[in-house]
Amino acid sequence: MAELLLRNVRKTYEGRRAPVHAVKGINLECRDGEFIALLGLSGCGKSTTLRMIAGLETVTSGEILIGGRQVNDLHPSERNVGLAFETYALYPPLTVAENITFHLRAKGVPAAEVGRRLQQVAEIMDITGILNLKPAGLSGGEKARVSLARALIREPGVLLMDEPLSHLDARLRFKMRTELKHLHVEAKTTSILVTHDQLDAMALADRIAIMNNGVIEQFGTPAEVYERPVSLFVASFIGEPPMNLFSAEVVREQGIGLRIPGLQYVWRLSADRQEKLAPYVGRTIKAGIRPEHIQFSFTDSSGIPASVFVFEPLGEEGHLTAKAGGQDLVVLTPPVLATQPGQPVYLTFASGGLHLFDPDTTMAIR
Amino acid sequence: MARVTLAGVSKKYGKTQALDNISLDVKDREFLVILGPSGAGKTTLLNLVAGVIEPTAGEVFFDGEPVGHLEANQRNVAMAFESYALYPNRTVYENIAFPLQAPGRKLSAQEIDQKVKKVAEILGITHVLEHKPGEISNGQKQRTSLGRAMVRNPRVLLLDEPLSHLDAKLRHHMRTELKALQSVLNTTTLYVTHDYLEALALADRVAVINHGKLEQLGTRDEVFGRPANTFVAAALGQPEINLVAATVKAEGTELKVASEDGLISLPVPAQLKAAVRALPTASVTLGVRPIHAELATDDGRPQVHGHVYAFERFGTKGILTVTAGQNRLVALLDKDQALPVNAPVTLGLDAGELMLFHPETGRNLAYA
Repeated sequence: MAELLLRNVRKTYEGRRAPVHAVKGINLECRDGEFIALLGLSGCGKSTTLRMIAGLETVTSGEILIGGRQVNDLHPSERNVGLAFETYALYPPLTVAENITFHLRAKGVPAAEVGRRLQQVAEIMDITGILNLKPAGLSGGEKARVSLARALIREPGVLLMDEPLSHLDARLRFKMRTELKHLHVEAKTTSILVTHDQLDAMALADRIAIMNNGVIEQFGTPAEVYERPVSLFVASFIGEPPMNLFSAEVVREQGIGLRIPGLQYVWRLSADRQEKLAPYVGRTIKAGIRPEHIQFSFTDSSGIPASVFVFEPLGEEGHLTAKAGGQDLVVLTPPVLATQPGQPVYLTFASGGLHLFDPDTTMAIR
Repeated sequence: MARVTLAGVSKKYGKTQALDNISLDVKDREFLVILGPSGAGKTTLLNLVAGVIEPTAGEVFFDGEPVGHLEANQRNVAMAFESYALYPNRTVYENIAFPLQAPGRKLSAQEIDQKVKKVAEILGITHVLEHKPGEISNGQKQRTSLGRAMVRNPRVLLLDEPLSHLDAKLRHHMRTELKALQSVLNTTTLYVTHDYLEALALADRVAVINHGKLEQLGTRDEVFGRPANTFVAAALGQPEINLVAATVKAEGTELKVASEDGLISLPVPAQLKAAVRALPTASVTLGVRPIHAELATDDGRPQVHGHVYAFERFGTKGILTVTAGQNRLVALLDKDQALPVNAPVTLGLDAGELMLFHPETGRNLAYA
């Protein structure tokens, strides 16, 4: 096991017209045994970052240290990393067992040792029954597990995974995510997972680095990025269903409050919040609130007046979309609700649930 | 508008039975969702209704009249596609008007104008009629696509996985838009998807298809709350329903179902006792949805003692996987708390929501 450090790492490609800054000076520290997710949309630089850690891409500037040792100039095979990629890259003519043990056998590890480690990793990944099959005969889930087994058998200092679950259907994804979660706690391998799926990151990671346009916007635990997003981007990215984002006018009427444009209702804020919003009086800012932090009532008219747009009963929960002053707000409800489109509904925001963002910088107003 | 009936419809391609003896009746103006995994036969079913392919056996009826002899363009069905398939160089108006200008249609420019404007108004896209597809939002594109399908007043509207390739956020949003449009569309609709959330959100009724067979046709409450068999039970809900092999035991006057090691043990609900007694052997499959499993409290619910296998948190929800002997149970928790792997944990199960299935056929005993 090893800790991983990235210091001001940059990757620039020579573009046709101008250089492409894929990774713009990122700093990351991943503790021994920690599971970190690099999360972002395609093109944000997460895979490039992973490939630099692996040694599959050169580093334009900055340092990468694994276990205290600078590895920038080391070949991937010398870095003690295990790679499990999206496309699995299993050798078709070899059996599962041969694929998994390939590297160890190539290095000349004694057969008895190879056999022992194979058995151990096969049990952890639950693939003891398919060791003699060839890749063509495997399902998507089995290939994903074999790919991980092959990375793990090397007992790497750092396990690197690039979207290992992306080709799996929803049901299999759920199952494999649980397996990965269990596996990490048992094996305690320092792990970096690249994904665009925030559910993967939230479920699996000890800390998440949310990347956008080559930089890390926020690096924190799932609880931190969920409860205290530092920017509009992070706030809208994390959470399912997504955070409601709406425009609000900052008004001064017996203290500073927020008004949804088009509505008379002014929402009162705490003294602390009023102080922070003083510079914004007269301006429109972006506000956010998660669906689970909105309470609704069809009878108690003291809340924000809205009307039901649509109700979706979804089995385990319900989603009520209401229109308030022309903006949509999604509310999390029980799975069964008697309601109709157009019905008046009154919304209250749980006080701790409101997030405010600067309209120019998009950073959270704290 | 039309009632659509499939009577014993089958479709075979060489040795592959794509559809096997499907009989269903779609009511006039009903929004029927056809739900199934990929390869189940959903698109084949849609194409049969459209008239793009012919059944190997059975018949399709619209309002009680057979339509087998009618070509696709004679059936007055409209299809709206996932990619919207809008002509990029034509305005929204022209896209919608297009089907009315097909050769053989004898409508005056004025009549066409009236129909296009009417449909645009119903769908709320009057203000973008002069824009091109590249200039409008996804929601507006979807409405344009639907507008083009609706302008001919089709008897049946067919939608084939319209949301499947959208990212999660857009999918949620477009699903909400579609739901809002339902009352406005007011047309017999067949909607194909593999996503059970769309089925629950949109359907008047759901037809669950697997390997070409109709597993269940019912309302969303029926397919979710009273699934016909283990396939349907597992097809709807996330995380998937827990299914455990169990045996029936009589304890005095009580009937119980328990896993082999006895770690999972629940009383048989009163209404299922007769069906349980009628089983050929003492084996049965027990089903509990993750939402009906919670961290145990002293409320007298049946308890399961086990160990934490994994606990995945998603903001305010958590998926707890527990090993209890040879079995694993998944619980959906609305609490966030520390549950370390291998720690002992006790779940409380909602015995009233217990489902029992035949151990071989998988049929729900509630239907016996």
